[in-house]
Amino acid sequence: MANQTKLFSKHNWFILTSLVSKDFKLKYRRSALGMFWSVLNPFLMMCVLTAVFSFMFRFDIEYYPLYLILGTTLFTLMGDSTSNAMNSIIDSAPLIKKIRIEKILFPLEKVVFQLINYCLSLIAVAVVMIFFQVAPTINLLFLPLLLFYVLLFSAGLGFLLSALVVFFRDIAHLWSVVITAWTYATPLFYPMSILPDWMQSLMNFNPMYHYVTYLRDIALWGITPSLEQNLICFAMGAVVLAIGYLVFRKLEKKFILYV
Amino acid sequence: MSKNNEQIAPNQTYLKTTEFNDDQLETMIEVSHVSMIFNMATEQLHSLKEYAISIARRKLSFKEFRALDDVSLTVKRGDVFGVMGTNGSGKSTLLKIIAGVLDPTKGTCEVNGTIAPLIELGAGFDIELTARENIYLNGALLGYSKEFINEHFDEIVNFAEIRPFLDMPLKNYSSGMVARIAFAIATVIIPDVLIVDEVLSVGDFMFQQKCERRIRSLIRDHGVTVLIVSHNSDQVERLCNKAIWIEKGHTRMIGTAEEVCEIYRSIGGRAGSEESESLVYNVMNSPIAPDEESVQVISGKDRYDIASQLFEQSFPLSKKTSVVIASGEDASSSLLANALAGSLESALLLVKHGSIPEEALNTLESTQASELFVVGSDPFVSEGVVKELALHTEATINIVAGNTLQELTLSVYRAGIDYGSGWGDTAVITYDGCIGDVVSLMPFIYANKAPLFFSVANNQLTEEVSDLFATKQFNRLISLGGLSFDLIDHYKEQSFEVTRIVGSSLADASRMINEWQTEQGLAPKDEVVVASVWGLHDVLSIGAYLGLRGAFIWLEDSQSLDSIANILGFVQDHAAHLDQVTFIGDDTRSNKNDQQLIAKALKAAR
Repeated sequence: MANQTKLFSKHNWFILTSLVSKDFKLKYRRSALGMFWSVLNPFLMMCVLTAVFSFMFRFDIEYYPLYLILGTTLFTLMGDSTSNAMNSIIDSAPLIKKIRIEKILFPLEKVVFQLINYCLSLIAVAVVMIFFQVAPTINLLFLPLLLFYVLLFSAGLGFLLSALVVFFRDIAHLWSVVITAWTYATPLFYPMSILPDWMQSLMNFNPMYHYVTYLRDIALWGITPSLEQNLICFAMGAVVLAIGYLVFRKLEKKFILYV
Repeated sequence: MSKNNEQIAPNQTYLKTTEFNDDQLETMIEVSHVSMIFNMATEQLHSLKEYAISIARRKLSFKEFRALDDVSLTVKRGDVFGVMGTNGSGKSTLLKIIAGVLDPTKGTCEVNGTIAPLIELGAGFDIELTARENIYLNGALLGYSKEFINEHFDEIVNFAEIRPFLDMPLKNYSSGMVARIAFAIATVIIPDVLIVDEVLSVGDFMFQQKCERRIRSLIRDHGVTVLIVSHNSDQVERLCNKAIWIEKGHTRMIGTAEEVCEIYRSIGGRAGSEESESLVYNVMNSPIAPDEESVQVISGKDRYDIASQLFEQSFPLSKKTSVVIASGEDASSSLLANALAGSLESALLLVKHGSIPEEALNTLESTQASELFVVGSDPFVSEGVVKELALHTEATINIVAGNTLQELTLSVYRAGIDYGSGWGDTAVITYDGCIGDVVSLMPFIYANKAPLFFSVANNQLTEEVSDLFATKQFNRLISLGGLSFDLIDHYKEQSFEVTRIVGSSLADASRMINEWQTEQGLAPKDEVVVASVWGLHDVLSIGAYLGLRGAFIWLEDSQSLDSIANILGFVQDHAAHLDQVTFIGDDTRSNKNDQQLIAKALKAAR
């Protein structure tokens, strides 16, 4: 039976995998292309954005579609996982009220689910790389490490949001605006160079800038990320995770009274 | 009279705890001094803005709500423990604390072993998924391992009887099937402690029996400790050995299931003052067995049947061989007929507007009545009925004509003078529809030959009635129901002695009227009649029955402890000259428990 003391028990792992498989089934049930959409979607998105930004703004970037798809998919991973995690506690209210269960599994599951989706969308990225004949370098082996950083960061934010939104539902509305603003505040469509100096220095405080840059370095430009880069990315993820985890643990006992 | 809308809070005093000498058994659940306090914000604050504003205004106040207050209980291995209480009494909160979903504000709750909570089955089902997928998902959420579910998958499917539909989305299932799956998953495991929260009330009869069998087998074959929440005392008595009764978060009683259920059935969920409750409680606990002979129940299939039975018991007592006939479909006209029967010193029989019920016809034929008085022409009693009466009896038929209630009132008044012994010096005024109060006053109306007058809209009397009162036929008026003070004052000024009786509820008015009648020197002889406030149409012809034997009638509200306590008190006070308690009403209204209580009180006081 339930061993509630350890977060990473076999039992909690079974709950996590069950929930992920539920989300997976629900997402693709009744669609003709099914799981293929996870690949197709970022690809089509890239085409639209490429069309828009190539004809309207014209940035001088080599392999612009690849530049774009690398940034947008990674950002979508963070955006979707935090948004979904945010609602996970409220959505599972009937369960929380009735069954003794590790509550942090709900936001965690959403993040894991989005990570799996992201891995599928990497197929689209691979297709684009093949199209532009960008050869993968040994630096691509850093990808799991980056995903680990992003996972820490997204989970931390997800924990924080899911706990706070129980008490203040406004956050749910606010967060979609924040995500949109954040999309434009991160160099996803444009090069860093078009920004004025003060904005470039401000960008150092944007974790997503670091993660996106890291990804482009290893996948597009074939640059080995420096130790400093790794440390920054890890530290940002770890700090956010720590804050999110602590806040969640502090508030979770009161969830049942508010969901 | 107005219906009682204000809810009196159920009692919260502690009744008793029975000590169980079972310390040697292993303790499975130990709840000690648990309190659960919810801070209810006086305003609902659901947004940051509202929160900020109220902090700025320093108006963020909370109201404390105690869902549980210092509740303690011990459940031993093998116990089947019932938790009883009305809705909102804190049962579910207690279960949630035991299940570990909720942390108590104060106190501790220790559970020894695994718990399978059957709290609201099917939480965590996803209607888009198939039954197969849901079994695995729900199993995972309930804490089963994948191997365990694999192993017991067939067992679950067989119990739920869903094999042909396994791969169909749950949304296509009937709610009964969903309940079956949920129950099957939840009880496939053999837990140390099983918590059952009114799950047995879902699903159809067959399924309920199946569930109960499963729970019984867990109890009997596997020695599972069970906690059952219910407000059905029969179910608790059937399944449990111990029980706790909580009301508004307070422990009322802990004891054996039989003990608690017995008291819960009499007191549980009924509102009333502490004095009422202790009176009822004391009567209930008195060891005296009620005298079966002192209880009479008059019930029948409808109001006409009951009226015929009442008639058969009254007619031999009446001084004249006349019969008053009224329509049972119009309560006010039949109340007038009661008053007329009083003046005529005869008995009353009810018919329908368009036909004569069989029982009434049989009863009428068996009497040798010489005169019939039909109260009301159309729309009260149709001509067809009069013709039919003429066919079946030899008696002279007098029609007390009147097409409206006001006309009928005056006709009845005149008929009393023309055919009967006239009227007394007291008149009763009330409004159309005030049935219960008039019924309660019947002993007085019959004994004093008091005529009945109905007010018209705006609490006025018709001109004819005003003129009649101006002749000073009467020197006393009794106003029943909330007639306006203007009217009362008007007659007070004209040196009438006016008594205005208004109760907060039917049962309360019944008490006031009975107290007043006692003050007037009337005393119940031999018998007290009890009828339900919900069954007034069963006692529409009670006047002659009461009047001819000098009995009193009490209207009982079975929801109110005060009402029952008042009747018990009255019976105790007058026990010396009471032989019998008569309950009137069809089978659905008579509460066996209350009958036993009143009979017990009578026996005890004698």
